[in-house]
Amino acid sequence: MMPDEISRRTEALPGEEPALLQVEGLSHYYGERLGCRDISFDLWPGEVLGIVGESGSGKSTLLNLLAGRFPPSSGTIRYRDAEGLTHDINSLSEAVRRRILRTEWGFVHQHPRDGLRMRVSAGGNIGERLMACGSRHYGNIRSTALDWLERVEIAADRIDDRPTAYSGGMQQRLQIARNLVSGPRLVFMDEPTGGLDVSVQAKLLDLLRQLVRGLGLSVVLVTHDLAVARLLAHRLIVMRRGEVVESGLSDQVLDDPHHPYTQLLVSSILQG
Amino acid sequence: MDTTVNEPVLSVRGLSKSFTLHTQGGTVIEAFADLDIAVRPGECLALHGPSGAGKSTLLRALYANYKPCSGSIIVKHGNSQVDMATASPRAVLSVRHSTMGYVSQFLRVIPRVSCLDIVAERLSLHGEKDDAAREKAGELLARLRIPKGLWNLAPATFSGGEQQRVNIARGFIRHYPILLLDEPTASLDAANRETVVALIREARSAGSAVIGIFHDEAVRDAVADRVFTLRPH
Amino acid sequence: MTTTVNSADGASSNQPSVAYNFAYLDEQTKRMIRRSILKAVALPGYQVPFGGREMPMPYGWGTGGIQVSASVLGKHDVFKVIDQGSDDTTNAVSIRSFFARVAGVRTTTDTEEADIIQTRHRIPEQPLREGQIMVYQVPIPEPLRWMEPSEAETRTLHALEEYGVMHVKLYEDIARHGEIATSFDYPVLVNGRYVMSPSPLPKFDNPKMNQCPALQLFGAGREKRIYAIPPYTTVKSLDFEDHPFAVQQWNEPCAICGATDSYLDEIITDDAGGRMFVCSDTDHCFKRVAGQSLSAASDEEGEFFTTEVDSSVHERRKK
Repeated sequence: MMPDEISRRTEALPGEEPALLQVEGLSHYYGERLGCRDISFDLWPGEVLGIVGESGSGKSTLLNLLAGRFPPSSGTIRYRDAEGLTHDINSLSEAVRRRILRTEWGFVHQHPRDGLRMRVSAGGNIGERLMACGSRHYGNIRSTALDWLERVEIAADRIDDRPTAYSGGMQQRLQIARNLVSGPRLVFMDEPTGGLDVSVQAKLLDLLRQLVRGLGLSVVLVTHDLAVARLLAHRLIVMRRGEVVESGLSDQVLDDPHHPYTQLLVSSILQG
Repeated sequence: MDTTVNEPVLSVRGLSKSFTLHTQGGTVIEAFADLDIAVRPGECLALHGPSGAGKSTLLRALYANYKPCSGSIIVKHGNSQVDMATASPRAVLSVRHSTMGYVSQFLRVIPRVSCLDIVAERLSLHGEKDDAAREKAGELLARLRIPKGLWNLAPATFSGGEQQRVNIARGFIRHYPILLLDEPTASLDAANRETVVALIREARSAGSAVIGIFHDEAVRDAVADRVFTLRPH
Repeated sequence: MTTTVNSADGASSNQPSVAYNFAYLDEQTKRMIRRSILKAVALPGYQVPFGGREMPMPYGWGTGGIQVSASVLGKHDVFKVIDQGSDDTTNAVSIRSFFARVAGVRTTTDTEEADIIQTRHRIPEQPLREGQIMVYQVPIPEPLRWMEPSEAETRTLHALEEYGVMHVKLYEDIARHGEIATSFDYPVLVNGRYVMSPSPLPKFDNPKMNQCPALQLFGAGREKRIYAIPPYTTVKSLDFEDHPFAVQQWNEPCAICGATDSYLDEIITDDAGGRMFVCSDTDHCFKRVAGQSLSAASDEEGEFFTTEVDSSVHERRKK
């Protein structure tokens, strides 16, 4: 048997759902300047895909394109929704795109204040998606919010405090709860541990890992921290100057990097 | 009797691995070349050779932690066959999930997760209820003489021997048709070595094909029925 | 102003003293505003932009309402203005006299008699009838503004009916106060489609907007928006299933007319903490007292309330 045949045969594993996100030939230019070029990959249900690279490598451009925040210069992004319908993200109507964004997707920003309503209590922040999806029972919204506070390890008596009264780590956990409360299928994360102290990072990472596994989430995770990538991501894409230079299984990319840039990245960042 | 029992669960053909160090002027380090190996259910193959012969590298390549330069690693995975040398990441993870277990020399610790949960997770990922998984994990940790007082602690602060035993418990908590062991007894005392030998024998009788690096000759003689020798390049 | 003399001047104090067009605005402007009003009526609760004009008074004094009134006012209409329910506060008096001068229309304080009622805070207690037009002066027309500072975003939210954030505001109220504490400008859903701000109306008046026989027009002068509720339109106050919408209630009746079902203002009567509650709708209160005085007089049961007391209380309120 040829290796190629074998790998193709094992590509669609029996009894598995088809890909959630299919990205083909995605490129983006900011005027003359390259954002990212010719990116293609599939994301499968329950899979965590890490996008690593230095700042300016095009990671965030790619993440924003995937989340449909602006249209690419060329290429397509197809998303398979909860009903099994496949949508071309960039030809969706604004109404459908926003519906998907607040029900089936989540977006965790690096800075919690970009993803939270800072003048609204923690309970209101978590409850917003529920209310946006039609919940009109205060008691139920509140008990769901309490449940989620517990899951992200925030004391129940902080439910009526505004995020401004929270520490950075708590704000980030609140942002995660706010995103996950509606049971999304796909979550985009932009350096979720970026602005936090190392000790706080570990706690958040562990929490993310548990939630992602427990809920079977698909995640596209942008990070420059290879330790975060190793712990959370099944698969990595290494970007440099807007292009993918290497991709594959996370531990393989990190332990046996082939591309000179990846070797440099691994040897210079990952110590021990 | 199932006619497939005696077919190899793992067949390696023409496997080669070298490393090109781009950060060091493109130096090429050859680990091994053109290996052929076949292992059947219940067999235990000991990898032998001096330090630097590529034993650990070979194990890592079999686990797809390292990417071979050429050759194939065909694994019987459920009812299909997967070439670990070329398979997609998803297929590799699927093989690791249910077919191939790996006990490395060092425990890569996860912050904050207790050692009981690290072991139990292997069962709960396969659908076992949390409580039942914890109970089984506790039994195995007890067998490996990890004091109960440590079960609820994260293993980051454990001694080398304790970490190694947590790692072993994680590898043996459930049945894997293929088990890769990288010096599982290296930092263990005699009593724990005996326990590990017993665990390996139990795995073999349950049908696991074992490939291991055993530094300790007594252990190797006690568990392995074949030896595969690698020579340094 | 008096330098311009025309033959009609002096003949009647209701005639314009200068050669303004009828109702101050020129016909082109009124036509433009009417077009916006028509669009607003066609899309109940939707905020229609209009080319608001500079009016001879500052923003915040009802310039939006005045432009709407000017555009719908006819020569034979009877005009009423209330401010906080009262016909004789400074703002009400000056707007009433403005239209008396620039349009020469008859004015009134009687709700029943009025064809057009311009208001800042209240809907009269007396039920409105078909053919009447309520004109509301609106300071902040956008109900979503509290949650969303971006105008582009609020327009999108309206367009896509994404009104979850409105409930976040109500959620915050309950979380903070144990109940929905918003008592003014309480958001409503109009005709099952657009969430609308009822201007600084007390929520007490919200139910009056529902299935109202009169046409209701809202004008925001600073923000240059017009919106409308056509007669007999469903207007629902937003709420939660377990915290249903409820109006304010008072523990005592109006100190003047004894009404138990009207919106009451609290009046401080002295420096020693003395206070009383009286109807905010002066026309309603006066009419009730007039009725009671008649019956009291006929029953010969002595003094009930004298008009002197009435006027002194309402005088005090004006301060």
